[in-house]
Amino acid sequence: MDQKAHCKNLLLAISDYVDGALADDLCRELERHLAECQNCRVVVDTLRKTIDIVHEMQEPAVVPGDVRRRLFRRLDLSEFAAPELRPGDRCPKCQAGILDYDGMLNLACDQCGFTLSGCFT
Amino acid sequence: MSDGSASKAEAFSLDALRSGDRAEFSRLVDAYSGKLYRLGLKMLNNPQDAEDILQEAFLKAYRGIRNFDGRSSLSTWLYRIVINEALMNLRRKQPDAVSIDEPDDSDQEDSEPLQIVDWCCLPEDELMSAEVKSRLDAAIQRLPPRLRAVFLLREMDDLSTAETAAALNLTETAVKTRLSRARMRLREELSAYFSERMGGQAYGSKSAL
Repeated sequence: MDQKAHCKNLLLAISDYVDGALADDLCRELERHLAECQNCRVVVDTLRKTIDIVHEMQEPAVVPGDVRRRLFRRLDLSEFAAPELRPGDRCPKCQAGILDYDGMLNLACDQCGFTLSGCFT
Repeated sequence: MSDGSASKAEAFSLDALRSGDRAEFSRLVDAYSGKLYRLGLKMLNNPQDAEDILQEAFLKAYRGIRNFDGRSSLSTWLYRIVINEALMNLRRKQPDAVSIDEPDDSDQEDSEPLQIVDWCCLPEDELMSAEVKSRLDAAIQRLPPRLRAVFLLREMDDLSTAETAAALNLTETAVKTRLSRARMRLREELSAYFSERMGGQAYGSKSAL
């Protein structure tokens, strides 16, 4: 097999190789090839870097508040659309106190006494 | 590669969901809408379309959950619904775009790598610049939809090869082939860009002396 065809075959394996998902024998073969083929080494290195950049530049997985509101409305679930409150959150009623569990496992505001009952996990 | 996504979905009570428990479904919506919205945005490159398919997908999920057989995980099932909605949306908008339906596996192969420039040594701020991000985003948008779907599920949403195969109704080999092609195309794009930045110098082939 000439050098070019050889490179081409191995290129198909490179993606698996950078994932660490290449079978042992193919992996050894690829590494033997990389030891003597500068071009393929550059492809492997720049492919790895490309994947790093993709991960590094990823947007956060958030749904904007208005999109979420419309989604809940469309699903007829608006009554469940209130943001989930947790201990330590600011009280939604007086905006001054901080919510914490009371003795009955309700979330209660330490300022205005606003209480949310239910099971918070 | 198993991340938390499957176990997270399995934290939901299937019985409650199947019996139409709306509070439980709301929790499911909150757990997945961020990821599914981002996936729609990346597939369609348009916030309004992404919002539309997000709504459609959850409506279908709500109606279909009774028949969910549990063969795949709940999260894989949701990804599958969103990808199908996205592909239908693209098909409606570009009915002539063969690339959406083309089998697209081996016949029409990409050319071998053209850009052999070693840009790995560039400083971090050059590699992670806003311009690189916009080049990358544009290159992702240029991927044929079925390559894009594989790429996004694997790289962005961290689905395993098996989960991606289940979500897209592909063999694992097809997932690997498409992922490889998508990655190589992006590598070409970034290489072309960085090699311009480096003034066309082939750093990689420079002698060590």
